[in-house]
Amino acid sequence: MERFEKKIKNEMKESDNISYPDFDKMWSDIQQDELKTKGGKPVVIVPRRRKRFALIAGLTVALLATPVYGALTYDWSNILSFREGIQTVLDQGLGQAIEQSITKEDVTLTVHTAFLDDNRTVLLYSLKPGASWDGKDLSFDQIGLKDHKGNLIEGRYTHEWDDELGVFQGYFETDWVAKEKTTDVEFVIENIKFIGDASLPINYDPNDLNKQVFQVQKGGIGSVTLESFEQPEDKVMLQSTITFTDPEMIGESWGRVEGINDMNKSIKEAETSSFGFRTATGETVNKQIFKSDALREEGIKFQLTYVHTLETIGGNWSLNLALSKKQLENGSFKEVLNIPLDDGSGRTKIHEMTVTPSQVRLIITQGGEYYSLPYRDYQLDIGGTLLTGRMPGKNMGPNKMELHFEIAGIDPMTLANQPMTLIAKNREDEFKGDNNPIHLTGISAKPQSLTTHIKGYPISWTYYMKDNNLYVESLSSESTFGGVVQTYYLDGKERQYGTPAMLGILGVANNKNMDVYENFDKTKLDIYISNYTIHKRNDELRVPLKPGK
Amino acid sequence: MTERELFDAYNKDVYRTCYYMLRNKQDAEDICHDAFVTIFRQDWKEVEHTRAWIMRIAMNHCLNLLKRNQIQREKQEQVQWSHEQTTASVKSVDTILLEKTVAAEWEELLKQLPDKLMAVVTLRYIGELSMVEIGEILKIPVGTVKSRIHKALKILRKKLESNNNSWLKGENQFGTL
Repeated sequence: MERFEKKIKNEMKESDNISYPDFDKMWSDIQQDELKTKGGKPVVIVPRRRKRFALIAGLTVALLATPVYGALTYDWSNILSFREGIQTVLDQGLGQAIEQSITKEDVTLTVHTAFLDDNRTVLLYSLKPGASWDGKDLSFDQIGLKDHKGNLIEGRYTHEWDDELGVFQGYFETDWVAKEKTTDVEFVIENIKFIGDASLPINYDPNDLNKQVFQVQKGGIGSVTLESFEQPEDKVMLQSTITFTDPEMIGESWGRVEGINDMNKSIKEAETSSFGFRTATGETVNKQIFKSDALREEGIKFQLTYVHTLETIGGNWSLNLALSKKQLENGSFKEVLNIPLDDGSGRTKIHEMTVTPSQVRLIITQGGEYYSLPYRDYQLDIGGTLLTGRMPGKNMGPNKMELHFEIAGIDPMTLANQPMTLIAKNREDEFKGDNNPIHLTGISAKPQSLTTHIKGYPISWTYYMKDNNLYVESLSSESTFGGVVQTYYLDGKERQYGTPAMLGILGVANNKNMDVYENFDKTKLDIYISNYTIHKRNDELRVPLKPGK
Repeated sequence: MTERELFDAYNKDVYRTCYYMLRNKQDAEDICHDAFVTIFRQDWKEVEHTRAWIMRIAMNHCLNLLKRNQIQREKQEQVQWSHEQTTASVKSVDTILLEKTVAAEWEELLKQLPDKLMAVVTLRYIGELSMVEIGEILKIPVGTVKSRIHKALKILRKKLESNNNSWLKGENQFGTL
């Protein structure tokens, strides 16, 4: 070290130009906090000393409010029903006890327990609203962790009201993984919003299959357009397209159509609905499938129901957390596998497995870009215990995907010794169509039908005009036929594709699909199958990942 | 090592780090306290590189507070205030005068270092950490650590040279960083 550096070092580290505080007094203060933490009892904490600057009050409150260990025992099983692995490690006492609170504007945020491993970071939190709260749900403008640079680490959150305890219990989960064994982060919630359902009556006629448009012009919603389509098995698909006057409402409104019967109850959908599909023009499209007779019953009143903000409490609820990976370190391991997964492509591999006491993640690499695995269902067999797989919606890049398995019903400390096998089920392969034209003739508002075949599978086509659009429906009586994915017609040599109108309803029991050709003005058209799927529901593939010990 | 021994071994370095980062005695004292509370809440006996770990916790607390406070506005008056608190007890009047001048000059100089440069300088000269350790703490590449230290030294040296400090004479290069 050169002289100049030595001089700086001496000035900063050694020189007596800095007078030290009373370290004995500081030590005794530090001891006090330690005793509070170890004592296991809530202690009323007196502020240590005067605070010179009001600006640091936020940090101070967070630190002073720390020890409330053991004050309440929370049951997290309900909130963790889709995060069973967290419940498993919580039951094993493997979470990192945090128990830090901050109260602002009469709302207390408490972080109870943290779980850090090589797959994810999860925080269990509770929110206790003030006395004036009257049963509304809450959401936030922002929730996340902030690293030391102030970068926001986003994640998912969910919470539920617990009537008995009078708090919202929730979890925050992010795929962010701490690089170090310990890390300091800030958990921050910005602007708490009280939200609730609002509804507006709409004069919808379920017997009219034409497009019906209703102007709303309230709550940030512009209009709602309803169209209904007959489905097999006496069902109707009700498609609602919602436009917005307030762009912020697009992602938050969860606008949907409800039919209210004379018992003042909302009629139930017959199949899983698809909500909130966003179009390029900033509309959202919902597809709800109802039983025809339920929808068309006398006296049903229709309404547009949407979520809106009733009140916003501005501010930041922020807690500085010293997080540690130590608790979940035991029983965690990562293995590079590169085991081929025989999906017919010859280029798919189970690349890597990350096992922690709460979750197993498999990274699957694929040869082709945006190729997706043909299997719909996945299980992990760990020594005879079957875990259900989830495919997270996160963007992994063009040729990578992840499968997540929550550890449940198995001792997480035995994972390293257990045999593991991946089970893939319910196979649906996509194929290119043949070049045989399907002749649609005499196109009019009256539905017409014809039958064609592809690879021996019969396809019934129904086509008709509605609102200047040509609708082409396809359906097969053969259940192994997965459905026509999309059709097209030839404009010279150019393919003009129909817009799939059923897209977004995955897992529908039938193989019906529908394409729309907008602003169609001819009476005949030759269409072609672009691609279709074959669905082998009983197909099963087992891939051993590791032997037992 | 007991907690008290750990505290005694590092309290001055942690306090000095906080003091230089925050330029304020009260904040430095509070953050020094909080850093040790954080340290003792963790399994500190298991930590491999204790010094680097402690300095990281202290630095993170400082950076968090700086971020919150955006203390630029208060800096001027606080440094002034801290000078008034600076005392030297049993020295002759002449020595006190001289030291006060030098100390004030240093304060003035260090005060002008931006937070980013101050962070590497405190970790390097008070924390006595390696470039790699500093890089890990501040989550910046080692090359950036080097360039920040170089820049900080350059700023300080330039200021001191313009003040014609005698002890700088005869030294022409910064040496290996």
